[in-house]
Amino acid sequence: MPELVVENIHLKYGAIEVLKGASFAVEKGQIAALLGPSGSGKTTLLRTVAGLERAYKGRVSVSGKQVFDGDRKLDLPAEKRGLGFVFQSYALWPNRTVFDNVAYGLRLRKVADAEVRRKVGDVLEVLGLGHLHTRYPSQLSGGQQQRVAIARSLAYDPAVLLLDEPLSNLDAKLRDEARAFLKELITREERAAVIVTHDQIEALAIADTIVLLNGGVIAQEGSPEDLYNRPRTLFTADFIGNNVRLTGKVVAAGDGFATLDCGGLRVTGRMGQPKRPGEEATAICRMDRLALAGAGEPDTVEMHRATSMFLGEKWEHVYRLGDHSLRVLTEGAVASDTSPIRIPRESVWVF
Amino acid sequence: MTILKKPAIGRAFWAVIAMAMPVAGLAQIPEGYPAEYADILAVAEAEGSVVIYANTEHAAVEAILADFQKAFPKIRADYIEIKAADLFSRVSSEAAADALKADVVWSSAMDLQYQMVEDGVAAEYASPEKGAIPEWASYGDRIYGTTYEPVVMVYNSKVVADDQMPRTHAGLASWLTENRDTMKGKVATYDPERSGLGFFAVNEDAKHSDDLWPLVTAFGAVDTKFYTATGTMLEKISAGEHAIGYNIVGPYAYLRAERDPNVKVVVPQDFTVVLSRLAIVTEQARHPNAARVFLDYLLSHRGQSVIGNAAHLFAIRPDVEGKATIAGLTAEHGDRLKPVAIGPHLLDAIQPMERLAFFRKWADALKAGK
Amino acid sequence: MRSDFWRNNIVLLTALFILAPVGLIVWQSFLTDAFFSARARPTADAYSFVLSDPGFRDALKNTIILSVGMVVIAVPLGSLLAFLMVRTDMPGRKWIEPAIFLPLFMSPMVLAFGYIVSIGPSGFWSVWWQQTIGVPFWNVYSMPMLVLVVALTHVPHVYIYVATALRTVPSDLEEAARVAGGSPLTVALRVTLPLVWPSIAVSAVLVAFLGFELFGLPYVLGDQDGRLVLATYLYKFNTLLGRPAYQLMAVVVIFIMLATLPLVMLQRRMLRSAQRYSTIGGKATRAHLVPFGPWKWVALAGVLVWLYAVVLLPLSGVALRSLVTTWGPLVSIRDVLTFDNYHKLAELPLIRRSIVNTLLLAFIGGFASLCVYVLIGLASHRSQARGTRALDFLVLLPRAMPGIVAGLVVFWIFLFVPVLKPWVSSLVAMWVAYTLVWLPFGLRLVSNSLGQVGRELEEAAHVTGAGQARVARDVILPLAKHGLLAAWLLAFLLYAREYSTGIFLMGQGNEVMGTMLVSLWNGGNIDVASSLAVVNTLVIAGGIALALRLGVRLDA
Repeated sequence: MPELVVENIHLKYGAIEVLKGASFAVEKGQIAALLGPSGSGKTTLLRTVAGLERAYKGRVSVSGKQVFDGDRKLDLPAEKRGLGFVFQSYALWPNRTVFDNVAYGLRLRKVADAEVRRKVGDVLEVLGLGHLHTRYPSQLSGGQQQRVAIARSLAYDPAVLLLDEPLSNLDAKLRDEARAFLKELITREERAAVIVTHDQIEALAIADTIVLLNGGVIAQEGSPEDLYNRPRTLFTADFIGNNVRLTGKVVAAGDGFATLDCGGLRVTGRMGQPKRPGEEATAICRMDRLALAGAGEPDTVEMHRATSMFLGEKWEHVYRLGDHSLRVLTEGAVASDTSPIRIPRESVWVF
Repeated sequence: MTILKKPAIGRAFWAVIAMAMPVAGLAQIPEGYPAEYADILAVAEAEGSVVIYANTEHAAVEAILADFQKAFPKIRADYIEIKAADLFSRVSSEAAADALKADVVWSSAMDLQYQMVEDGVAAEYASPEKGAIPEWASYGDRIYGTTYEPVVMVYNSKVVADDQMPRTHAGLASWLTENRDTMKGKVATYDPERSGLGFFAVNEDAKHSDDLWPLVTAFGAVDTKFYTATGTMLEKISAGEHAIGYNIVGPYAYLRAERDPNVKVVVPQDFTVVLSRLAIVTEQARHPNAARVFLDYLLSHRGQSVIGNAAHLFAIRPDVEGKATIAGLTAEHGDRLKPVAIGPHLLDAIQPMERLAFFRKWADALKAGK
Repeated sequence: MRSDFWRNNIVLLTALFILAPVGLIVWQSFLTDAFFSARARPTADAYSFVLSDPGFRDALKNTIILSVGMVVIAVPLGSLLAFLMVRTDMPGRKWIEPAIFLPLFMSPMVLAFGYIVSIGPSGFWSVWWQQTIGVPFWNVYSMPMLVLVVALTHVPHVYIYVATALRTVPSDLEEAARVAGGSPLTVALRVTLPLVWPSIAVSAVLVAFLGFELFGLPYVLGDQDGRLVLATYLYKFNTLLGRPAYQLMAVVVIFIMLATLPLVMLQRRMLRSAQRYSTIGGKATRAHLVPFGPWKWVALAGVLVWLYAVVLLPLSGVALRSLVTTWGPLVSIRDVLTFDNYHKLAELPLIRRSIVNTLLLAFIGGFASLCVYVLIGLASHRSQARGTRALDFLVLLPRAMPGIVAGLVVFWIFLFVPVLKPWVSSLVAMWVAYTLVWLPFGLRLVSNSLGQVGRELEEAAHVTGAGQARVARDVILPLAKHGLLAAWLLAFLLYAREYSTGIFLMGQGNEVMGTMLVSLWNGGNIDVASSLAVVNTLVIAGGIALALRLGVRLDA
């Protein structure tokens, strides 16, 4: 039985339907990422799970216990759900020290003082904050604040940890570190975690399962690899990865593949849904799979080089054909002005 | 904030206590009172306090309360000062709720005081001092006049020379008309619409003489200012902002004149309306005997001496000597003094239709002068 | 979020607290006599009487003129003052600040009387003017003067709103504009003004609204010419028909309510959008001041002139009056100078009691009222329930009731509701009336400071396991502490100057200074009244100074 089960959540703000039946589940020791563009309802969904928003339909259970059931009018308040929550802003209480922030949950649970000291000490140690007990949040760096927020949500041993964009307030370098740290921590502590993010790289890196939301419904759910390699909808294909989007007419279809003519640029890709010649269709091409074609390679298009940039490790070139432009990475500089560009059909999806 | 018992229960309770006590030696009953008065006094002292709602200003009443305390040290006088109209609101509301706190209501609004008798708020009590005050000054053993306050004119002698100041209503009217330019904005009186006392006094004027109406027209001619409070008027007369105040209640005027030699008082020589502060003992009184003792004190020779000579409220007992007394005033002004007798006719003054008719007449007379 | 039970109860209680008095007034307005009187019959005559009374139309006209005049004068001046105080390097700001708040908390009666003594026809400033310059060009009792006095004394109301908003505008926006070549004036007009525009608009509506419930200043200054505004017109019915005509007063109160409600609602609307604005900037960092060059002295002179007009003029009048037996052009001050008035003050035991009571009621009662407001504030805090939103609207109703009417109605309720009866004319009833009268004001302050606590800070506590009450105790209240302290101080100052609400609730031993002042003065004992007024002002000034010393911000 998964630690957290969320089924068919519906939620309205006034007349606007924000969540239209979202479901997902997380096992112990696993991380699920709620991913989606802004306005997709991912934070709302997380807050609904926590009991901070009120859904009107659906079910939520934590460690096998129902905490919300729209049909039975069961709706435990946030404080009775026993979850950990890390806010995007960290929401550390500015009038309390690091120690008191972290100890709060334990004190609410009437844990004996000695035990509070031990547990808080442990969790702060684990998070590398052992020397900061008496500091106030305003005296901490962003990374430290984030870890205090995590420590606070872990201190009272919640089975499920909810994190709302926990990394978005950190600078790029810290973010990479924190991401690895978080993943390791959750696996080791055996919590079930749900992390909200709008950053697909972060989601791909950290999550065991990605729940991709679009307009209040789940567009696709699966392992990161699944979503990357087997998108089932145009939205998923387009949202995951760094893509070029081409629209055109289907000129040939069969064998699961279709070929599109996009104003002179021909591209072939896997069909996400059946297409017949003559239909309008959209092709999503993974940018990082584009390459200069060697002789005789399939799926190539002759294009004109507009500009080149040296990025340190690699070169990036912009190739043009008609209105279309593609970015291609190479190891070395390129001399010729026109080259055949390979757009491998395994990395193209047609919808 | 004590929880009050039903008065009847309270009364019975105190009566029992009083009877349980030896009567003799408790307190000295005032001279000339019947022997039974010892009982009243004993119960009153057991009641311990008397609650008075009144509109007499604290500073003036301080002397009276202090002397009462001296005379009856075991009865505490709780004095609550409220403006006349608000006093009526408060008493009638509390009485309707059967929660009247006042044992004595003492107010200069004669009409509203009589309304309380009419409404059954006042208890019947024949004061042993009744015979000592003029006959017109009490009614049906329920309401008693305690003071004898002439309604006077006041002027600032630095603005109006003593020999110029008119001494009669008609004289004032013609003098104002003659001096309408220099007296513009210099005359002050009550606004009868916004001051209950102001209406009452000027309405009495109208009853005594038709001279009032030419005077009102003269008021219009000199752009008279109309006030709600005596204090403001006297202050501005004293400062010279106004020269003449018409229908000022005597005690206030004399008090002010005493402190400021520029302020002079004129007791009109054609007729002078005399008002009285009326006291009632309430039917719902929690301390009915203490209330009687307080009322009797107000009417007693001792109390009246204080009222006349210390509080300057003008004693109503003819046997009290001094300047601020009925005796002093009568010696000087004789039968020009027109005291307002106490009786049901007081209610005429608070008939809405009559008042509205009066105001129309008033407004017309004012306009005629402009 | 979920345990709505206690919320609903508080909302219900509050609604009852407000609707009972309002309901009583509505009922009274449809009767022929006092509601408790056997003579009372149902009728709508009171409405036709008031509406057909030309006096009512005059009062309404005067009220509207005052209201509009206040907006036109007080809003620009208040905004300018706020800009000078918060954003420029005008000298002396630190000293000026406490003085700015004084007119807010001085009893309007005292203010008005002070004006009469200082610039009335016999006032000592007028006399001085006459002797050195010529015939004074003003008449303190005229309508334009009333508008001016009322407007100038309401400048602090505008100041509070605009200064608060200005403090949250990041100064880098102004600096950017100055770097781009704008003069201080252009920057103020083009950059700063648009940013605080919502707050200015809110304060304009507030001032217009306050214009409708004005009482003290027109009561004293308009008295002699019978120039009435709605609130003073209402009192005419205390005496006009002989017995107090409650039904007519009730009609006027209902009319004031109806007339001011749209204004109040407009203000709520604006306030909501203003808050949206101000949270963008977040808490202000140390603002960099606009250097004003030589103009700063001009600005200072302007502010001093205003302070002179609203503080020094009336205060000097009252203070002088307290040291003399009489005044005016006919006496030489030296002849009448005396300290007697203060001696008399010390002699009357009652006065001492009233000072103690005032301090008690203001300090402890103010705190107790604050607790009530906090409770109501917490109940409606972040709630979307329909009941609590209705409450939002309801709490504004008492604002339209003049103090004495509110006092009378609370008195009636205590009198005629059996469980409350034992408490009538106790300090408790007085406190209830004060709490009711200042509910809209206090609640707004409280919910503002509660609203400043970050939503996520509360949610963090919820998720950690704290219930509604714990969140309030552990997070909201500690973090809103400063705003609540300021609210307490305001309650203290407002209660200390209040004079009309307690008239019916006074009992033996619970006299308060404000009420004493009015009765002393009406009774003609102006000597003592003015020395008491000086003491009252000193108490209030002391309160303000102490608060500023303790770091309480009145405009936060």
